[in-house]
Amino acid sequence: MIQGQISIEAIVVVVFLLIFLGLTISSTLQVQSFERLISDSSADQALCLKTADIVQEIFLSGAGTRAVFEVDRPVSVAASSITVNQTYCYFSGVAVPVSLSKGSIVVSNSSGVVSLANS
Amino acid sequence: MPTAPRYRRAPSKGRVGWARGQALLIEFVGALFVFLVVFLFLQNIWPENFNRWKDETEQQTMLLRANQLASALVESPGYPTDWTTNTVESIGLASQKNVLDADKLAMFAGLTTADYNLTKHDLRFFEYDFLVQIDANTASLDQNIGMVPKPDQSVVTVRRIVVVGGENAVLQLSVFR
Repeated sequence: MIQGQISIEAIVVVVFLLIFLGLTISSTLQVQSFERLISDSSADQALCLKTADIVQEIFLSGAGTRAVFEVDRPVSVAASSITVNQTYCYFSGVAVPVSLSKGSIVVSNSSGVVSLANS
Repeated sequence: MPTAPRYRRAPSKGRVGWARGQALLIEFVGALFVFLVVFLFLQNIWPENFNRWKDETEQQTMLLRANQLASALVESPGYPTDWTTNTVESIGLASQKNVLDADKLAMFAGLTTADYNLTKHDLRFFEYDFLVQIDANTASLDQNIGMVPKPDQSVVTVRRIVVVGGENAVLQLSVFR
Protein backbone atom coordinates (compact mmCIF):
# COMPACT_ATOMS: atom_id res chain seq x y z
CA MET A 1 0.00 0.00 0.00
CA ILE A 2 1.31 3.42 -0.90
CA GLN A 3 1.63 5.52 2.22
CA GLY A 4 1.95 9.20 2.72
CA GLN A 5 2.92 11.40 5.58
CA ILE A 6 1.80 14.68 6.91
CA SER A 7 3.24 16.61 9.79
CA ILE A 8 1.42 18.07 12.76
CA GLU A 9 2.55 21.52 11.69
CA ALA A 10 0.84 21.16 8.34
CA ILE A 11 -2.39 20.09 10.02
CA VAL A 12 -2.24 23.11 12.33
CA VAL A 13 -1.62 25.43 9.41
CA VAL A 14 -4.53 24.02 7.44
CA VAL A 15 -6.79 24.42 10.46
CA PHE A 16 -5.71 28.06 10.76
CA LEU A 17 -6.37 28.61 7.09
CA LEU A 18 -9.84 27.13 7.40
CA ILE A 19 -10.56 29.40 10.37
CA PHE A 20 -9.48 32.44 8.39
CA LEU A 21 -11.53 31.30 5.43
CA GLY A 22 -14.55 31.14 7.70
CA LEU A 23 -13.82 34.64 9.03
CA THR A 24 -13.47 36.01 5.51
CA ILE A 25 -16.72 34.50 4.35
CA SER A 26 -18.55 35.75 7.44
CA SER A 27 -17.09 39.22 7.01
CA THR A 28 -18.05 39.31 3.34
CA LEU A 29 -21.60 38.26 4.11
CA GLN A 30 -21.83 40.97 6.76
CA VAL A 31 -20.61 43.60 4.31
CA GLN A 32 -23.13 42.42 1.74
CA SER A 33 -25.92 42.67 4.26
CA PHE A 34 -24.79 46.22 5.20
CA GLU A 35 -24.62 47.18 1.56
CA ARG A 36 -28.17 45.96 0.99
CA LEU A 37 -29.38 47.91 4.03
CA ILE A 38 -27.67 51.10 2.89
CA SER A 39 -28.99 50.73 -0.64
CA ASP A 40 -32.58 50.27 0.54
CA SER A 41 -32.45 53.09 3.08
CA SER A 42 -30.82 55.43 0.56
CA ALA A 43 -33.69 54.87 -1.86
CA ASP A 44 -36.18 55.53 0.94
CA GLN A 45 -34.28 58.65 1.99
CA ALA A 46 -34.21 59.96 -1.58
CA LEU A 47 -37.97 59.55 -1.95
CA CYS A 48 -38.58 61.09 1.47
CA LEU A 49 -36.52 64.17 0.66
CA LYS A 50 -38.07 64.52 -2.80
CA THR A 51 -41.58 64.42 -1.32
CA ALA A 52 -40.65 66.87 1.46
CA ASP A 53 -39.18 69.24 -1.10
CA ILE A 54 -42.32 69.18 -3.24
CA VAL A 55 -44.60 69.67 -0.24
CA GLN A 56 -42.47 72.58 0.97
CA GLU A 57 -42.50 74.19 -2.48
CA ILE A 58 -46.29 73.95 -2.71
CA PHE A 59 -46.59 75.38 0.81
CA LEU A 60 -44.41 78.34 -0.06
CA SER A 61 -46.17 78.95 -3.35
CA GLY A 62 -49.43 79.67 -1.55
CA ALA A 63 -53.08 78.91 -2.14
CA GLY A 64 -54.09 77.69 -5.59
CA THR A 65 -50.90 75.82 -6.45
CA ARG A 66 -50.77 72.15 -7.31
CA ALA A 67 -48.32 69.49 -8.41
CA VAL A 68 -48.40 65.82 -9.41
CA PHE A 69 -45.59 63.30 -8.95
CA GLU A 70 -45.02 59.55 -8.70
CA VAL A 71 -43.91 57.43 -5.75
CA ASP A 72 -42.88 53.80 -6.00
CA ARG A 73 -43.59 52.86 -2.35
CA PRO A 74 -46.05 53.89 0.38
CA VAL A 75 -45.52 57.29 2.00
CA SER A 76 -46.94 58.65 5.26
CA VAL A 77 -47.37 62.38 5.72
CA ALA A 78 -47.70 64.01 9.14
CA ALA A 79 -48.16 67.72 9.89
CA SER A 80 -44.49 68.50 9.24
CA SER A 81 -42.80 65.22 8.40
CA ILE A 82 -42.72 62.45 5.84
CA THR A 83 -42.10 58.77 6.58
CA VAL A 84 -41.03 56.18 4.00
CA ASN A 85 -40.59 52.72 5.55
CA GLN A 86 -38.16 53.34 8.46
CA THR A 87 -36.88 56.64 7.09
CA TYR A 88 -38.30 60.01 8.03
CA CYS A 89 -37.59 63.59 7.05
CA TYR A 90 -39.05 66.99 7.79
CA PHE A 91 -40.21 70.02 5.88
CA SER A 92 -40.86 73.58 7.06
CA GLY A 93 -44.57 73.93 6.41
CA VAL A 94 -47.98 72.58 7.35
CA ALA A 95 -49.68 69.61 5.72
CA VAL A 96 -52.77 67.51 6.34
CA PRO A 97 -51.73 64.10 7.74
CA VAL A 98 -52.42 61.27 5.31
CA SER A 99 -51.14 57.81 4.34
CA LEU A 100 -50.50 57.34 0.64
CA SER A 101 -50.03 54.19 -1.40
CA LYS A 102 -47.57 53.96 -4.27
CA GLY A 103 -48.58 55.58 -7.52
CA SER A 104 -49.47 59.08 -8.62
CA ILE A 105 -49.76 61.74 -5.89
CA VAL A 106 -51.52 65.10 -6.19
CA VAL A 107 -50.20 67.85 -3.92
CA SER A 108 -52.28 71.00 -3.57
CA ASN A 109 -52.46 74.13 -1.47
CA SER A 110 -56.02 75.34 -1.12
CA SER A 111 -56.00 77.47 2.04
CA GLY A 112 -52.41 77.74 3.14
CA VAL A 113 -52.19 74.09 4.23
CA VAL A 114 -50.85 71.42 1.89
CA SER A 115 -53.01 68.40 1.04
CA LEU A 116 -51.80 65.19 -0.60
CA ALA A 117 -53.87 62.44 -2.13
CA ASN A 118 -53.49 59.48 -4.43
CA SER A 119 -54.91 60.29 -7.85
CA MET B 1 -0.36 -10.74 -13.04
CA PRO B 2 2.13 -8.13 -11.95
CA THR B 3 1.29 -6.44 -8.67
CA ALA B 4 1.86 -2.79 -7.87
CA PRO B 5 5.26 -2.24 -6.31
CA ARG B 6 5.31 -1.28 -2.66
CA TYR B 7 7.67 1.47 -3.43
CA ARG B 8 8.57 3.85 -6.17
CA ARG B 9 11.98 4.69 -7.40
CA ALA B 10 13.02 8.18 -6.38
CA PRO B 11 14.27 9.51 -9.74
CA SER B 12 16.61 12.18 -8.33
CA LYS B 13 18.53 9.83 -6.09
CA GLY B 14 18.71 6.82 -8.33
CA ARG B 15 18.24 4.36 -5.55
CA VAL B 16 15.25 2.39 -4.34
CA GLY B 17 13.43 3.83 -1.28
CA TRP B 18 10.37 5.71 -0.11
CA ALA B 19 9.45 8.70 -2.33
CA ARG B 20 9.22 11.72 -0.04
CA GLY B 21 8.17 15.30 -0.39
CA GLN B 22 8.88 18.31 1.69
CA ALA B 23 6.95 21.37 2.71
CA LEU B 24 8.66 24.13 4.61
CA LEU B 25 6.76 25.57 7.52
CA ILE B 26 8.31 28.97 6.82
CA GLU B 27 6.47 29.16 3.50
CA PHE B 28 3.15 28.49 5.12
CA VAL B 29 3.86 31.12 7.77
CA GLY B 30 4.88 33.62 5.12
CA ALA B 31 1.70 33.01 3.13
CA LEU B 32 -0.38 33.29 6.28
CA PHE B 33 1.29 36.58 7.16
CA VAL B 34 0.56 38.07 3.73
CA PHE B 35 -3.03 36.85 3.93
CA LEU B 36 -3.45 38.41 7.38
CA VAL B 37 -2.09 41.77 6.25
CA VAL B 38 -4.43 41.94 3.25
CA PHE B 39 -7.38 40.69 5.29
CA LEU B 40 -6.94 43.23 8.10
CA PHE B 41 -6.42 46.04 5.59
CA LEU B 42 -9.68 45.23 3.84
CA GLN B 43 -11.46 44.86 7.19
CA ASN B 44 -10.47 48.43 8.11
CA ILE B 45 -11.43 50.00 4.79
CA TRP B 46 -15.11 49.13 5.08
CA PRO B 47 -15.86 50.84 8.45
CA GLU B 48 -13.84 53.89 7.39
CA ASN B 49 -15.77 54.30 4.15
CA PHE B 50 -19.05 53.66 5.91
CA ASN B 51 -18.35 56.40 8.48
CA ARG B 52 -17.32 58.82 5.77
CA TRP B 53 -20.56 58.09 3.90
CA LYS B 54 -22.57 58.72 7.06
CA ASP B 55 -20.85 62.07 7.68
CA GLU B 56 -21.38 63.25 4.12
CA THR B 57 -25.03 62.21 4.19
CA GLU B 58 -25.51 64.12 7.43
CA GLN B 59 -23.93 67.25 5.95
CA GLN B 60 -26.14 67.06 2.86
CA THR B 61 -29.25 66.60 5.00
CA MET B 62 -28.32 69.59 7.14
CA LEU B 63 -27.77 71.71 4.04
CA LEU B 64 -31.13 70.68 2.61
CA ARG B 65 -32.92 71.50 5.84
CA ALA B 66 -31.12 74.81 6.11
CA ASN B 67 -32.29 75.77 2.62
CA GLN B 68 -35.83 74.66 3.44
CA LEU B 69 -35.95 76.73 6.62
CA ALA B 70 -34.37 79.79 5.00
CA SER B 71 -36.94 79.63 2.19
CA ALA B 72 -39.77 79.20 4.69
CA LEU B 73 -38.61 82.26 6.64
CA VAL B 74 -38.08 84.67 3.74
CA GLU B 75 -40.68 83.49 1.22
CA SER B 76 -43.63 82.51 3.38
CA PRO B 77 -45.83 84.68 5.60
CA GLY B 78 -46.29 81.67 7.88
CA TYR B 79 -49.47 79.91 8.88
CA PRO B 80 -51.91 81.39 9.56
CA THR B 81 -50.73 84.32 7.47
CA ASP B 82 -51.63 86.82 10.21
CA TRP B 83 -50.08 84.68 12.95
CA THR B 84 -49.36 85.95 16.43
CA THR B 85 -47.35 84.43 19.23
CA ASN B 86 -50.48 82.61 20.41
CA THR B 87 -51.89 81.44 17.09
CA VAL B 88 -48.74 80.53 15.14
CA GLU B 89 -48.53 77.06 13.62
CA SER B 90 -45.70 77.69 11.18
CA ILE B 91 -43.41 80.72 11.41
CA GLY B 92 -42.79 82.79 8.29
CA LEU B 93 -41.45 86.34 8.17
CA ALA B 94 -42.32 87.51 4.69
CA SER B 95 -44.85 90.17 3.77
CA GLN B 96 -43.80 89.53 0.21
CA LYS B 97 -41.18 87.18 -1.14
CA ASN B 98 -37.80 88.19 0.36
CA VAL B 99 -39.32 91.23 2.09
CA LEU B 100 -39.42 90.72 5.85
CA ASP B 101 -42.26 92.02 7.98
CA ALA B 102 -40.77 93.98 10.89
CA ASP B 103 -43.56 92.96 13.29
CA LYS B 104 -43.19 89.27 12.49
CA LEU B 105 -39.44 89.54 12.82
CA ALA B 106 -39.84 91.09 16.25
CA MET B 107 -42.31 88.39 17.31
CA PHE B 108 -39.93 85.70 16.05
CA ALA B 109 -37.07 87.19 18.06
CA GLY B 110 -39.28 87.44 21.16
CA LEU B 111 -40.52 83.86 20.81
CA THR B 112 -36.99 82.53 20.44
CA THR B 113 -35.75 84.41 23.50
CA ALA B 114 -38.75 83.29 25.57
CA ASP B 115 -38.76 79.63 24.57
CA TYR B 116 -36.20 78.43 22.05
CA ASN B 117 -37.47 74.83 21.89
CA LEU B 118 -41.07 75.91 21.36
CA THR B 119 -39.89 78.21 18.58
CA LYS B 120 -38.12 75.27 16.93
CA HIS B 121 -41.43 73.43 17.05
CA ASP B 122 -43.23 76.41 15.50
CA LEU B 123 -40.56 76.50 12.79
CA ARG B 124 -41.14 72.80 12.19
CA PHE B 125 -37.40 72.45 12.76
CA PHE B 126 -37.01 69.57 15.18
CA GLU B 127 -33.77 67.83 14.46
CA TYR B 128 -31.15 70.61 14.49
CA ASP B 129 -30.43 73.96 16.16
CA PHE B 130 -30.37 77.28 14.34
CA LEU B 131 -29.01 80.80 14.44
CA VAL B 132 -30.50 83.55 12.27
CA GLN B 133 -28.30 86.59 11.72
CA ILE B 134 -29.50 89.68 9.90
CA ASP B 135 -26.80 91.96 8.62
CA ALA B 136 -28.00 95.30 7.25
CA ASN B 137 -26.28 98.58 6.45
CA THR B 138 -28.01 100.23 9.40
CA ALA B 139 -26.65 98.73 12.61
CA SER B 140 -30.00 99.06 14.38
CA LEU B 141 -31.49 96.53 11.97
CA ASP B 142 -28.85 93.86 12.72
CA GLN B 143 -30.15 90.95 14.75
CA ASN B 144 -29.03 87.57 16.08
CA ILE B 145 -31.88 85.17 16.76
CA GLY B 146 -31.35 81.66 18.08
CA MET B 147 -28.54 79.66 19.61
CA VAL B 148 -24.83 80.25 19.01
CA PRO B 149 -23.02 77.12 17.84
CA LYS B 150 -20.04 75.80 19.76
CA PRO B 151 -16.66 75.74 17.95
CA ASP B 152 -16.59 71.93 17.77
CA GLN B 153 -20.04 71.59 16.22
CA SER B 154 -20.57 70.90 12.56
CA VAL B 155 -22.27 73.98 11.06
CA VAL B 156 -23.95 74.55 7.70
CA THR B 157 -24.70 78.12 6.62
CA VAL B 158 -27.00 79.50 3.93
CA ARG B 159 -27.71 83.10 2.98
CA ARG B 160 -30.58 85.02 1.48
CA ILE B 161 -30.78 88.59 0.24
CA VAL B 162 -33.77 90.24 1.89
CA VAL B 163 -35.29 93.65 2.46
CA VAL B 164 -35.69 94.68 6.11
CA GLY B 165 -37.05 98.07 7.13
CA GLY B 166 -36.76 99.27 3.55
CA GLU B 167 -33.07 98.34 3.35
CA ASN B 168 -31.27 95.51 1.65
CA ALA B 169 -29.81 93.05 4.11
CA VAL B 170 -28.39 89.54 4.28
CA LEU B 171 -30.19 86.90 6.27
CA GLN B 172 -27.70 84.24 7.28
CA LEU B 173 -29.04 80.98 8.69
CA SER B 174 -26.66 78.62 10.47
CA VAL B 175 -27.84 75.09 11.18
CA PHE B 176 -25.95 72.78 13.47
CA ARG B 177 -26.31 69.80 15.75
